Amino acid sequence: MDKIIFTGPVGAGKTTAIGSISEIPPVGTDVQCTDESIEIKEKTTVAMDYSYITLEDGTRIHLYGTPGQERFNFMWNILTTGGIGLVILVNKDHPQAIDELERYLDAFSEFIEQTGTVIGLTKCDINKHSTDISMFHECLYKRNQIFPVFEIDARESEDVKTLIHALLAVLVN
Amino acid sequence: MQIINDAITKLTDENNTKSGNQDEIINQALDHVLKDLMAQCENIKGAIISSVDGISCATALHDNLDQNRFSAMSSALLALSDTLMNESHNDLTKNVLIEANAGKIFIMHATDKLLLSVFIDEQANLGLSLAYAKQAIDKIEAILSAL
Ligand SMILES: Nc1nc2c(ncn2[C@@H]2O[C@H](COP(=O)(O)OP(=O)(O)OP(=O)(O)O)[C@@H](O)[C@H]2O)c(=O)[nH]1
Ligand SMILES: [Mg+2]
Repeated sequence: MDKIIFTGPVGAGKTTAIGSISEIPPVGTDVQCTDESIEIKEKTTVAMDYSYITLEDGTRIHLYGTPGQERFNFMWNILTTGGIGLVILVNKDHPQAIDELERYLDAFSEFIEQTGTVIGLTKCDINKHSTDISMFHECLYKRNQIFPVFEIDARESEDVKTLIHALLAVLVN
Repeated sequence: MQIINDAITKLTDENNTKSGNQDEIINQALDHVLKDLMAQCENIKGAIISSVDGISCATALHDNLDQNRFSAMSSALLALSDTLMNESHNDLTKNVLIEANAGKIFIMHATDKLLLSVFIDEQANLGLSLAYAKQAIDKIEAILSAL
């Protein structure tokens, strides 16, 4: 089974991205936020997102989204088991976007070593705290983790498909 | 029940509403609900009240169990179960029951924002424990509806 995992911080757009390319009504486990993240949005994922897409050649790719909140990190191992690749989404307009990326690179380091990874920067249309894309390249270069980085809108299915195709291309090499 | 009634009286008292004491009163009252629950039955080994998004609000746990992890895991399980129930039966979960040789855990909605997880040992009577939990939920609802 080809299984890709979407991860990244709260509000990066994991649930949105999976929903936007989904062929079926996605399985979601979003509940109302009761902590400070309510300032970002009303609902947050507490267990997982699930959906699938079918590629032109008929291959079915199963998509799993993790919760973003650290307290659900027990789900991270459960969801990555058997996965073939990782998509890390980061809100590019987050004031500490680079730290956020590094937090996830660290948390998923074991999985990253075994598989392929691509990075999607979301909310590029917002420019309050936006970090330049070159800073993300620099961060990855310093860590010796050269992964493709894309600026995307998680609400646009074409953008999310680009990420998945890039990931599959990485996996072939 | 007296303490819970007192809490409800305090919550409806304007002075407390203004001074922002509410959270503290609620937490104390919720702690009490759990203490009562544990006192009712020695086979109930622990209980947690947490928010639907997995933050612990009140706990009565033996040993050094991590209330924060348990709260998060309970909310993940209940949310997944709700999704499954909704898609299969168009309904919400009454309770999630996990059984093992060493004991059982059940998780249920308490209010629309809170859930209750109860840990019982292998000798516990399940029906009775569920009934005690239901009573605890009635108290939680009473406390929260005083707001
Ligand atoms: N303006 C803008 N909004 C976006 C973009 N991508 C996603 N969003 C919005 O950002 C929010 C992301 O929310 P979710 O998809 O729930 O985020 P998540 O990563 O699943 O968050 P958690 O489950 O809480 O970890 C949604 O309201 C999206 O509509 C983007 O590129 N630009
Ligand atoms: Mg989500």
